[in-house]
Amino acid sequence: MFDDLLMLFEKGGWSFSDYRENPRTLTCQSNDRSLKVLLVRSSDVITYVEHGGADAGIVGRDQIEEQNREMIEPLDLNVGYCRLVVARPKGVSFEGAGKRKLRVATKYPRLAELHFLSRGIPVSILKLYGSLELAPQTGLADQIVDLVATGRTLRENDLEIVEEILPSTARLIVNPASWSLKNKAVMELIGRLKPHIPVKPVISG
Amino acid sequence: MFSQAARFRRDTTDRLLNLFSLWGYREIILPSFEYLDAISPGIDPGLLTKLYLMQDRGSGQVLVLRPDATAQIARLTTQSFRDHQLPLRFCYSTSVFRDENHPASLHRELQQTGLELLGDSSVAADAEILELCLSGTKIFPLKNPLLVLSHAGFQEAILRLWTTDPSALRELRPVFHSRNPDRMLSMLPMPRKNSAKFISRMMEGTYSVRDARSELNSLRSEEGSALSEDLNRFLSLLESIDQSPHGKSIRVDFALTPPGPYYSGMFFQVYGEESPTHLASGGRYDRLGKSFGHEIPAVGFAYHITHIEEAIRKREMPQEKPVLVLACYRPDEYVAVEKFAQALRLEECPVMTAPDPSTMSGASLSPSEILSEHREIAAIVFFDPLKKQWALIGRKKTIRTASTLSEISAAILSGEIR
Repeated sequence: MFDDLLMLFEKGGWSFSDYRENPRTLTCQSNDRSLKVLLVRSSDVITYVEHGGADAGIVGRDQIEEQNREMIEPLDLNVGYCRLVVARPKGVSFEGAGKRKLRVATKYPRLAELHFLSRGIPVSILKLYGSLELAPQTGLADQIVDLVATGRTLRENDLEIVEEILPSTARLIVNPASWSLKNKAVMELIGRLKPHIPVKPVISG
Repeated sequence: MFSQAARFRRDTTDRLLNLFSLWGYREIILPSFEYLDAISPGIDPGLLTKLYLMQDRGSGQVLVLRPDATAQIARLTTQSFRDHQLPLRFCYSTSVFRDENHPASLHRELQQTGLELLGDSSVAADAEILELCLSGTKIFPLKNPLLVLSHAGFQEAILRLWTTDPSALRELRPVFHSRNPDRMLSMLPMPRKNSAKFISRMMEGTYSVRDARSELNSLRSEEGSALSEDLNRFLSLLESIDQSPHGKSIRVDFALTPPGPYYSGMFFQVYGEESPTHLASGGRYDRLGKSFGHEIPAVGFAYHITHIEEAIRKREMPQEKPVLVLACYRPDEYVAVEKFAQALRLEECPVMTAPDPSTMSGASLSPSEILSEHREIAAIVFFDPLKKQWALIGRKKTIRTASTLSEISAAILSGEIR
């Protein structure tokens, strides 16, 4: 997704020679020094922005909903499109209903639990940090809740999508203090990015 | 919390309460414990999962450690308030207890200093609160404080232009506060195009008081009576603060999220350059009294002292010159040294006494080591057995040697240790 975002910022008039020369760097500045970019894990972006490590951040809707934060979120950047879905081994439906809880492996325990409880399905959530596709194969879980873009990884692991929980794209979020104290700069950032946002959601490579 | 931070808290709190008293606010001390049943009608539902609860040993009822001063004051005053009496003005400085467990910080006890004005629904009361809140920021002092102002009643009136369906309103509200007009318009088209244009613009940024007035006047000519009451009230407030000396420290954010569900009129948050979070917040909460059985108009605010202290801690604070004298005694000198110390204390000179380190077992500190370890000590008095004299040692040099403690005392009182 970062390449798509970089393109978006370049269309907005910033360039990042430092990053182009050294893509392994964790921070870079725009050539005109007006923007400093930090590269952090997607699950950490909200923390950085809420606690003033950054004035603004770009993070998927999935993270905003999972962390249950009410954010100033003025722009949907329409890149990094993916869906949070429930998936299960192809053709295998859960047969333990009434005998035991459905076991679900996920990186999104809050959203997964809310999803199943809203349907009245008793569920036991197993929090994993990666390679969720292995959980049903090894008997750790009956189903998984994970992000998919094209669905290729699921297909390669003999999993099928049961239902969609949430579509997600990248969002610009802003720290409330920065929104107020640096409103002119934030509005300029939004104004320069907005004309270049794709009309339809784009799956990032 | 150690000496400098503790002194900062005490000094600023005293000065704030003194400022409030000049406006007629009387200090109240709130109980730390409340019965949950008694206070829960006024607690923000968002706080319910953050409460510290315990069982009362005597009655078996559930007790809560005070999570919020405003609800407590509303509960106490609604029970004793009589109609047609003069407005009540109270101020407080107290801790509130909540589980504010975020990834980058863990707070359980937050210090707040604030005030509440009960029984006055006028715009003048709103303006008084804004004026006092900004005046108080000079006491810390906050660097370039900015008060961001909005109006809960006006926000609701705007959303009702879209829809009056309660469930649709519930969905619209967070999108409005997220400042994303495109998403709001895509969720539910606004029936009137011109108003949609105004409202989209209002969501997109913050406004000077003057520009906010002009936006509201445009909207009023577009929507007429649909918004009249809340819009007029908000406009009157903006007109009154536009004339005030603090007008330039105020910006209007029409889509600011209210600090709690009980806010009904104007509300605000104060930000400062040195902090990523708000340092004060408040507003009008006329609905809160009703949850305790008596409707009373009320408005107030609190400084979030814990957040302010965190912001200010990053500053280079001027180091105060120490004035404390350490008087050391060997076993047979205790009575004389204590008498010497007591005489100095009567002259308002701070002195503490301790056994002479050279007489203690184990590793002992020399006078210069003590002075470098303890920044609060200005000078040390001890008996030098080699020279058979009393010595007064300062941070940079020996200030005085003398055969009697009264000579040392005279040197201290004449200001030689400064």
